Amino acid sequence: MELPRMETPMLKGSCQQTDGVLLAALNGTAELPVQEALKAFVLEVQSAARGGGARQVDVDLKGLRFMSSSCFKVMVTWLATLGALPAEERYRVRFLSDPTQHWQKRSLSALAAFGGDLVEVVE
Amino acid sequence: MSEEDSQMTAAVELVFSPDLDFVGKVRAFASELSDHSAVPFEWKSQIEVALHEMLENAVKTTRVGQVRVRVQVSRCAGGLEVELRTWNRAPLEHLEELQKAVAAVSAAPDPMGYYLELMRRTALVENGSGLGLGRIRAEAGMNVDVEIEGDRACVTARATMGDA
Repeated sequence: MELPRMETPMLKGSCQQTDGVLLAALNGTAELPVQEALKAFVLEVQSAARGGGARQVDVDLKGLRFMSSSCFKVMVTWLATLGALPAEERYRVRFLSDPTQHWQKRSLSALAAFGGDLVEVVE
Repeated sequence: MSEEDSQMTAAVELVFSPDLDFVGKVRAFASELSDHSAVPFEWKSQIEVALHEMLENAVKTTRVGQVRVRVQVSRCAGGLEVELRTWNRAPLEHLEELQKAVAAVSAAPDPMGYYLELMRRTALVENGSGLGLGRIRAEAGMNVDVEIEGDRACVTARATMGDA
């Protein structure tokens, strides 16, 4: 199965899969002009996670310099969809963050509060 | 705040076409202001978050004319006061929604709780994020206000950021 990939001038996304963990990395800036591209990428990541039986998805945001609320909402929708799945189909989502980018700390703690037990933030 | 008890350390004002491709560039340029004032580094990202949400909102809804933005940092009794303002012209139905949204976010006693409530409400709604104002208050720690005259809106986000 081909893994999801996104290539826009503003934002790039790529994936790797190892031992039940899908790693999705975002690099660049996530703003309204790339919201649709990000939405499509995240939907593909969700399909790849479920299709590949992943028990965990790591989302590497260390190369993400900024995310506006329009793209943050894509993550919120993902977590809401994940939470609505039957328990046996759910997987954990870990956001790998860069502590020197202070916006990530605040945005990701809000996402973690929203996602509950399914979400972890790693610095 | 009067001129006697405040001292402006830096300010920038820009006028630009309502083009989404400009939002990130204007945000980056305006936030550079904090490099030339006494704003601590960790606050810079809060200013960027609030500024971006305000700019994106103004650009998305502008139907006539330009978007104007001002970022101002002043010394005050509590430390530094950061004030962000945007001006734009938008359809009346949008301005009514904006006024209601600002009133609701400003009245919320627990900004993070309200932000989480907005996430729950909008997670599966297709159009718009509906999170921008909540994010300004909960993540950027800034109070939001709006003044409307006819089809003109002036949105203000303001915070006093400790001793610096």
